[in-house]
Amino acid sequence: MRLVRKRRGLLIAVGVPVLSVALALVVVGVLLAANGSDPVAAYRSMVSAAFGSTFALSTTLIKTLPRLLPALGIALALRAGLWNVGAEGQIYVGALAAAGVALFGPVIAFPVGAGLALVAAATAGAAWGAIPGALRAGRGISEVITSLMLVYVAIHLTNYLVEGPWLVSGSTFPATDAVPTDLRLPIIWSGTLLNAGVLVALAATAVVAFVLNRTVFGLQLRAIGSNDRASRVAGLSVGRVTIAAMAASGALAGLAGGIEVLGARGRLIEGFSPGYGFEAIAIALLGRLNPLGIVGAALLFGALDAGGAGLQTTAEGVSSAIVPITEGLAVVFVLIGLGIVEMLGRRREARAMLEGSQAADRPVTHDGLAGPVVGA
Amino acid sequence: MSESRVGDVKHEGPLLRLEGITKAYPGVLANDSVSFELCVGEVHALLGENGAGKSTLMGILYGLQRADAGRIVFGGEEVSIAEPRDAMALGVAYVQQHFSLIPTLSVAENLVLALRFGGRRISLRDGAATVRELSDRYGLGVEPDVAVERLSVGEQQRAELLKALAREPRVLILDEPSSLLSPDEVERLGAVIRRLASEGMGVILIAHKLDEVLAVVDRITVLRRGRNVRTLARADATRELLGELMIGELAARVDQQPAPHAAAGDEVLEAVDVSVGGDRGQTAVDGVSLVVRRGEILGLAGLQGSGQVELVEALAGVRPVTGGSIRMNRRDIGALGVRARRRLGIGHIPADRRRGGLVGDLTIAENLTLPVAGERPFSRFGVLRRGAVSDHATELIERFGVRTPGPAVAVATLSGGNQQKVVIARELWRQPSVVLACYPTWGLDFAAAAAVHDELERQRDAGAAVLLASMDLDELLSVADRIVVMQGGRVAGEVDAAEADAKEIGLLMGGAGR
Amino acid sequence: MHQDFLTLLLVAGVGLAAPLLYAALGELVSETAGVINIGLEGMMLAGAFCAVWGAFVSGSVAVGFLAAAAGGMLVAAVHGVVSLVFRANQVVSGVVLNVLVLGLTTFGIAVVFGSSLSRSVATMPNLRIPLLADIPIAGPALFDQDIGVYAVFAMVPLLVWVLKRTPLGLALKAVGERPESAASLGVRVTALRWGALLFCGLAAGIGGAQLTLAGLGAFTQNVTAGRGFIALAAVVFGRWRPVGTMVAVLLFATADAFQIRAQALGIHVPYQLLAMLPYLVTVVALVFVRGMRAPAALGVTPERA
Repeated sequence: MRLVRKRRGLLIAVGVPVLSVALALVVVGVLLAANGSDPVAAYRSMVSAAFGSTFALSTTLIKTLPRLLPALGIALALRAGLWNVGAEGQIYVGALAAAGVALFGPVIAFPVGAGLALVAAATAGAAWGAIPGALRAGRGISEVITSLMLVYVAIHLTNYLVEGPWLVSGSTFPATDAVPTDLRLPIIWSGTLLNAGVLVALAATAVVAFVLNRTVFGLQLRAIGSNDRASRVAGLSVGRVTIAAMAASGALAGLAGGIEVLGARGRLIEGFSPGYGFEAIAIALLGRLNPLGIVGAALLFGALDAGGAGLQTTAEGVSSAIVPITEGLAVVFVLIGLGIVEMLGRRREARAMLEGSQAADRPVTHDGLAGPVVGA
Repeated sequence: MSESRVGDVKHEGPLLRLEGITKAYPGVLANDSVSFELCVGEVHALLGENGAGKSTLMGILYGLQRADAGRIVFGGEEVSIAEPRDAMALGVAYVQQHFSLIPTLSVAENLVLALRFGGRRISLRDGAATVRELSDRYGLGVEPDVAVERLSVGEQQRAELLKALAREPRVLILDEPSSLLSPDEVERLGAVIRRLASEGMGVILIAHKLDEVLAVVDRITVLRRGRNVRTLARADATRELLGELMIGELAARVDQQPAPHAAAGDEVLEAVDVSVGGDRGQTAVDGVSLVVRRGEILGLAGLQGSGQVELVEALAGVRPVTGGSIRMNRRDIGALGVRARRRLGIGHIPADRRRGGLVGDLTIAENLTLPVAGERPFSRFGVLRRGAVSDHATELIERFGVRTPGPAVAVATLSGGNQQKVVIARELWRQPSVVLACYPTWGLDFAAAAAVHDELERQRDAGAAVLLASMDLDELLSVADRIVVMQGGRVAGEVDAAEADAKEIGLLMGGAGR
Repeated sequence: MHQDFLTLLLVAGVGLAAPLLYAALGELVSETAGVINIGLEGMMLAGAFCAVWGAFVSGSVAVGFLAAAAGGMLVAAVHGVVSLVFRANQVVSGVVLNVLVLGLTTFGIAVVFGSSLSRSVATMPNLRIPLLADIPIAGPALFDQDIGVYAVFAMVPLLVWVLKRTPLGLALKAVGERPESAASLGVRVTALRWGALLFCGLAAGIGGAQLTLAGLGAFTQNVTAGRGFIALAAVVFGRWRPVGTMVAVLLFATADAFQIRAQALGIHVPYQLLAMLPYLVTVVALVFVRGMRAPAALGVTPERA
């Protein structure tokens, strides 16, 4: 699957998403207007809730966190040609592991205690990702289906624990006890709720970029993502790389779950993820599978989330719907926009060839042409 | 059969004419003002090397592509063919090289689909009956109700032909039909073709080798670099003339005798009673034993489906062995994977450089480093050392003569010949003691193929044991020292190249003889 | 006592199965033609919402069903535009649509009813078939249900016939296995895929209507709660065949019905663990059962030459 287009300009990579978000906001404005709200006022309150104060900015960053890490994981897997559709489930098991360690394990001060819990979260996520990876490596079973199935296993498992054995005694609200303070991720921006998790996420971004481009594992990943048959013939163990890639992907998502528990929320709450793992798929693609691009896309969605939360509207439930609507529309427009760019690009290229504007030493491409009929 | 009726068929005037067809693709002019004519009841061959433009021309006739210029005249009237439906409506059937049947459906079901979308409604029961009827009529031996994926390669091809015939076409295009068949089956096919022609069908044979063509046709059109070089009657066509027309220079046809060199040394690689499974669960290799010696090129001759590819892959460690053992220097290496075998000194040039050899999106440097990326000096603690990688690539590019602006170029942009050089560089740079080459010159032009042969001979002269698997008898006779012939997964015979008789080997490849 | 339990269990199981089966059969047709719809959940949800809205506005259940079909098809159309016309990846397209539909329906319900819970709407009456419904244990389950249930189970043999014995079915299979070959035969690949996809939207939408109008009588935020994914699992577990899918759906739905009633029997199986069952069982089947082969070209949008 050729998702990485090296020749596409930065303009398109940034322009299309931004334009799509703008368009989505316009549509949302129309919806709001039709419902009797003032769209301009709505925009204003959204912008101020996302960027208007240090608290707003910190909220944006907090909301970016649980989207960024899973998206990095999905991009990593995708570069290996693997679809980790189950990131949502990995987020939950990561949260479970972190909560388990934090609530029932030894209380050690930051950073060791929280560090251990986060390691547990990443490990749990890695295991949850390794299962579909192993099934794909060993039996050729599509990781799309298996990782998707495991999402709901994870969600129900979490529900079971949170509503049952781990429920705060005497409460009906489906959540666990608060995590011991020593194990919480400390606030790093005083006056806000922004916790150390954001540092972990930034570090992870750098690590992912490094791994992809500068390590043996990254090379192997990209090789099997491009041509797994040739990789096999060259001596790569495709199975091992597959499992490792899915595990790494899961670890990142699990880490996000752990950060949610130890950070902003401070406890494990049922349904705490409104689909971060699924949004992450869109974010990974919006970011063109590039760590920097993903940071940008995640920030965009984080801002939308923060902005939406600050929306003042008339009807109950409208404000919570604005975010998914905007995000969904934005991604749909991006997908369409990228499709248009692709079509235009192809047409332009073909015309250029016909006019002989190609350099004379452009290689003869008989062998390289796809398609069954040409060049036999 | 070879003496029947060739050259004296009465032609009733052109059934089909292509005039001035031109088609360009990114980077290449596939058809350059080509003209082509087919008469009623004529068998007309379209001959040319790979990439000469034959398939493009036929693709245009069949509506798979649209020509940029030119016209198509059918039975005296100009027609427009925008998609396969139009071609089918005019009575053109195209049996392509790659199989077009739906594998999970049966032949009868495929037929029903094909006919229905060609405008004829037919029930499934009638479909099965039609399959049987056509099969008997033309001697094709195809069963209607078996899923296509369970048929043998030869049966699948005949099923393809049957599907085309069911529409009673006026023009039948066959694309390299005999590439998968044994000489016996080629004869059988030839008889079928003559029968069809005698019923008035016009048959176009696309071919890039000389032999299959000569026996059956009335006229031959030679294409070279997208142009129609000449159309001649069969009577005027000699092998030499055709070769010259196809290649364009007085074909310095390769000397059939290999240059003399030192005698072969001891055994290095040995296959003992090896059996290997194929992609579809069949037994591709059945109890094969052979030996490759130091300082020798062992040719492995066979047709498609003979098991050559699977055997070479098993020797390389890409494919598991289901029986027997593989030994190197007397040690059993069956349990070793590709990486381990590479370390022992086995280099493997795989059959399909594009799909099985190189990773297209990666750069030349990355491809060259890929098998050894984990080793010093290319990496440390898992981190790549870019300087070492780049230097290594530059050195290999120079040494193996790869034409490219630099090591950071994606291999997909290279030409076929240069891509093959990268594969060879990757495998041979450490002077392996065993070289396993499978169809290394497939799809390469004359000069590039010669370069490959030179490299293999150089390795042999340096003391390596070389195994060259090929479907091209000429290649094997001119390069190999000994030739082992495989047919149907077994060894059909072994000959010394210097004393070998091409015809005898051809028979062995086809399953006749011994 | 046990007999009553079993009877009620089966009645509930079949009733719960119906919405799932609509969506699953729709997905089956779509995947046979090579189009995967992770957005099935969204199509069902859209149908569920439109059904309630339509029924509320018109007072008629029939209009509700029509609206549901339209809603499901609309979502399917967007999926088609994004993935078939603009050739985006089908998985992404589906995932995004779920998010979008959730948001739109939540917004819709707030706008129409002013809260996240709709008012009750008219539901569908049962149609009891005399005599047959008196068969012990299985009778009421099979013959005392509403029309929606009968219709969906009637679809199963219909689909079997279409897929096996009609050229349309063959063409769908061809398109899902090898679109290039189908194209060279003259089959209109894109048109067929569109047809299959829209049918899926239609079916999933009606499934949503079956859920709200025939079962719950109301719409709540995210009322489908993952049923679309269970339907996806059922298609896989049923090996991409109509009868197998039906069996899978019945199994999952009966397990669900069981878990609701288990409390009354004093069996304390945590319901969440039972809720995991469809997904776990599907994964296990994929690992241990032979012959679980998806259409070869599933999820792949072919190039045009």
